[in-house]
Amino acid sequence: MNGQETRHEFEGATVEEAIERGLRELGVRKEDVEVEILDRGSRGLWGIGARPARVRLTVRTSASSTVLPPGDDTVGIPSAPGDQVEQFAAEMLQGILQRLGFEARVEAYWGDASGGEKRPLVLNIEGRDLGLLIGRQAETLGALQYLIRAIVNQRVHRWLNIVVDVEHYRQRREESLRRLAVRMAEQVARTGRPVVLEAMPPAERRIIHLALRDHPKVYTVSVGEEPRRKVTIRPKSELENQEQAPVRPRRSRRRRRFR
Amino acid sequence: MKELVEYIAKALVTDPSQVRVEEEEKGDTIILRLYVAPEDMGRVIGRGGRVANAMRTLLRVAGIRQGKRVTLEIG
Repeated sequence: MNGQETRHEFEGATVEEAIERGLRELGVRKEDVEVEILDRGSRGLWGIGARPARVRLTVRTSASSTVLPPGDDTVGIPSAPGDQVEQFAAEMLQGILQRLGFEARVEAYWGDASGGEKRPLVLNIEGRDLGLLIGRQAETLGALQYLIRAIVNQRVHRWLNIVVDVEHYRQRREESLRRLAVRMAEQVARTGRPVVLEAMPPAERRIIHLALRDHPKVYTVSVGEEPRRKVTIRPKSELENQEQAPVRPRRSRRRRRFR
Repeated sequence: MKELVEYIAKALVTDPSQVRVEEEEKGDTIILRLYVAPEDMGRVIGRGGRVANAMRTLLRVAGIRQGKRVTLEIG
């Protein structure tokens, strides 16, 4: 390609996306290419007849010296993913863990769809002494997940639901939260008194809400401010007896807590 | 510490060649300063500072293991 113009075609949901993808794959700046729009694409009608946008990028000859070989300056960062998102995501996470000083393995697999969402890409970390990686209220795990999502989703140009887990901690926690929800709902239904659960991060509260969504006798509301927000399980019977459900439990009941 | 921030920042930005991290040690505190291209600032800070805070959370963990406090400044 020395001194010669190089042409490449790229696709994306929008023209901008197609251009951005092309620039990244070629490792050049926007000023270094000429953009030809081949097809503006179409969203179609309810997804019928949708076409991706297509562009042709021509790298300007004068700019060929500024073409960065892929991977340059990004030592150790896996090159942009094609179809192997799983591998890219796992290697990226592995790279972060290594620099954090953890010796750990990452396994990537597609989990089950739940709560009407897409199947998540699960990155499960296995190793020794990984408690620190979870953190209080899974804060560290959440940070890892947030960063990996930001990096991967930006590179693949589509939104993937990525879950970062440590020794299936999330999975085990989810199962135990569901059991807790069912047990407490039974108690609320039996006694007619609301139960306030311990404070939980949003993702965990969501598990409780979803677990009891279709329960015939109780309903759930979150009360309080982050990070002390708590799920309250309340009997549906109080909705029939009163015009309005109280937002907060009455004083005599407020001390009820699950530990 | 420095390598960790560099690695994450380079993966987030559009122009990795502009990523630079300075490390300064003051007693038991490590101060990291991250510099990126102006157009990449938003990517390393994130909406409401969430990306930056996620990096800080990881640095805290790395710090605990070395008995250090770590701060991260951007720009």
